[in-house]
Amino acid sequence: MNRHPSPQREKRLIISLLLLLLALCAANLWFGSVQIPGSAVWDILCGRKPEKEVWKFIVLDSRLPQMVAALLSGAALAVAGLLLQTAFNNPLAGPSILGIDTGASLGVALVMLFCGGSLGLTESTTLSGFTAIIAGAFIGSIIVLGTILFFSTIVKNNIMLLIVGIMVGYITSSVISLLNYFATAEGVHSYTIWGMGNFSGVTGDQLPYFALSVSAGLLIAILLIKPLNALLLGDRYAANLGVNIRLTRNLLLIVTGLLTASTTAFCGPISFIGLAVPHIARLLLGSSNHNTLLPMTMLCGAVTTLLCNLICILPGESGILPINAITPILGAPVIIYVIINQRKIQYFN
Amino acid sequence: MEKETAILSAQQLGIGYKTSHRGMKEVHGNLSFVLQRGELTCLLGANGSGKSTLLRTLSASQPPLSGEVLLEGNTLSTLSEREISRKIGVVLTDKTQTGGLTVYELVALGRQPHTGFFGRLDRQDRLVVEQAIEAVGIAHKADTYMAQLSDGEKQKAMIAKVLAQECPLVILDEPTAFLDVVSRIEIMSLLHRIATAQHKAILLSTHDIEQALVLADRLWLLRKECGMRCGVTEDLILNGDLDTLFDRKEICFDRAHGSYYPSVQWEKEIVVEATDETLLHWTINALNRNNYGCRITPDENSPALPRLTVTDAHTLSLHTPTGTQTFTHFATLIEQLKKQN
Repeated sequence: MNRHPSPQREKRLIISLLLLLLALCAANLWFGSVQIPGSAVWDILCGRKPEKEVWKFIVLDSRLPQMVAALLSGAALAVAGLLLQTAFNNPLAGPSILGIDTGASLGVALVMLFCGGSLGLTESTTLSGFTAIIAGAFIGSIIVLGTILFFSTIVKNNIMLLIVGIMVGYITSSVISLLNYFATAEGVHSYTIWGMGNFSGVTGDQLPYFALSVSAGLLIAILLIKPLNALLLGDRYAANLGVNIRLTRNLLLIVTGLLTASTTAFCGPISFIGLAVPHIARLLLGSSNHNTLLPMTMLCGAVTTLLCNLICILPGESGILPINAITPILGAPVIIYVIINQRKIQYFN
Repeated sequence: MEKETAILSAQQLGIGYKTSHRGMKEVHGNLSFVLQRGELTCLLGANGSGKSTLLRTLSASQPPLSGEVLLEGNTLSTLSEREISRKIGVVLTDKTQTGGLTVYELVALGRQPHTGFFGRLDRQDRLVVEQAIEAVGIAHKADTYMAQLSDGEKQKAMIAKVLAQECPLVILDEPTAFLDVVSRIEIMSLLHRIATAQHKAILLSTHDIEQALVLADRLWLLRKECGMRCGVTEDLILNGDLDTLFDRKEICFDRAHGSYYPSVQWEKEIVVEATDETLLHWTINALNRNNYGCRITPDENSPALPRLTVTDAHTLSLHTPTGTQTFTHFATLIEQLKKQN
């Protein structure tokens, strides 16, 4: 673990990751349930007419939005995880572990189940329906985040706080189950499908809204780089460096809520990306400095979810795997590796 | 010139914290003090005497309950966070998450009060950071991860961070806790050197009284009941102020050696003669530990008591009414004394 951050190494790393990202984007457009030759995909992207008209529809209206959704969700969830880990001074914090995406799910469930399933994120979803779903997700995640933040002022022990987060997540899940019990069959069906996590849920029409909210969250996160670095020292040191702790914490809360809520609302609750990707980024980069770590986390998040999505669509004609079947297989080993090697990993000490 | 050296002062300051339901727990109600530039001031006191509360109040982490703290003549509570961050730098005992930063990156965090929105370092900032790392003597570790430093080096890096902050006042909360003797001495000497060389006011709390008495220009002695005594180290020692710092019968202060000892309670007495101070000191130490009270100057009772003559470390003669025994080591002498018990 003796990797020292050198500008040259950083540059090489970023270039190779960007190439990987590009390759994964291409693969995500190329593979799918319908076989389309690579040259045809290229023609479609360049605006030329393909052999079959339906291919154009598949690539531009299905695969492209799905790819962009996966890319944005990955960056959003990974950054949300990083912000939580820094804010709570806890390398094992993440949106799914702290129950924040469950909070978002509860908000979505309330909207979906009690509007009789008519507001499910289908292609026919109206703009107002989807604003309701996003608002529900945002409010749900902010409420859970606020609860955790409140408990963090009482529970100083990091592990205990994680357990409180897990408990809050369980309670929220219970409420969702209870809601399911009282909801219509149609509502439950659309909620269950949504709950498995799926990047294909985002249609071309919805994509601009999704991209807008995620970009806003990521932009505010970038603006918070300086106070985030100060927070590595803890609240009191950061305050002594002139950081307005309350403002910074509130902004972090809103950004994390926004990023988690938008991805959860559009793609379902996706586990492990927020928890594992910041660790992948730190291990690759060999630094906790947010100047480089934050962009690196975005990049790694995008690469990871594109890879997961690619695995999901690989079965081809036999259908699409749920994304939440894949992310733990990739994410959990990373966390186990980090925990086992924590003595050797600098940022843990 | 005399007035310019004072940086921080308070008259009849009340410190403490708010408990729930608008209640207040006052720890001290009447503290008055002045902190001088160019001096190392050590705050001593037992656990629970309010050291941390006082330091938190002075670094503006918590407001005073009554009275006000003046920083360069301005009331501390009226200054903005950013203004304070350029005036008062702190080193705390808080756990940090900085293992994944290099020493340089950590010290550079100290520049945050001076840098712009994104915290980019300009040439001047880089120079200050390099000088700060140089000043604490860890320039060879500048590119090392914090996690790979020893505890003493970590503390030096935190001190470099506070130097990079370029504050005229530096407050440190137990900077030598958990360090070994070598690091403790290094850190304290370093702080004293910085106070003088950079004309900073340095205030630190410590339990390491031996080092404080050697290196502190001034002492602040904080006692739970009686408030605070401030003064130049030697004045306080010779006035007997340190004798009552820990208000416990079991502990007494040895002015000659500048350290605290458990009070001696003896069952037997012995007359001790030694050829020099060091021999006498350690002979008494051995006897006290074994329940003997020592008489150095003979009086009318002495002839009846046993007498120990120490000519050198290997010639210890014990004279008793039954005869004289000579020992070559304290080990055998103590064994004999225990047998007599």
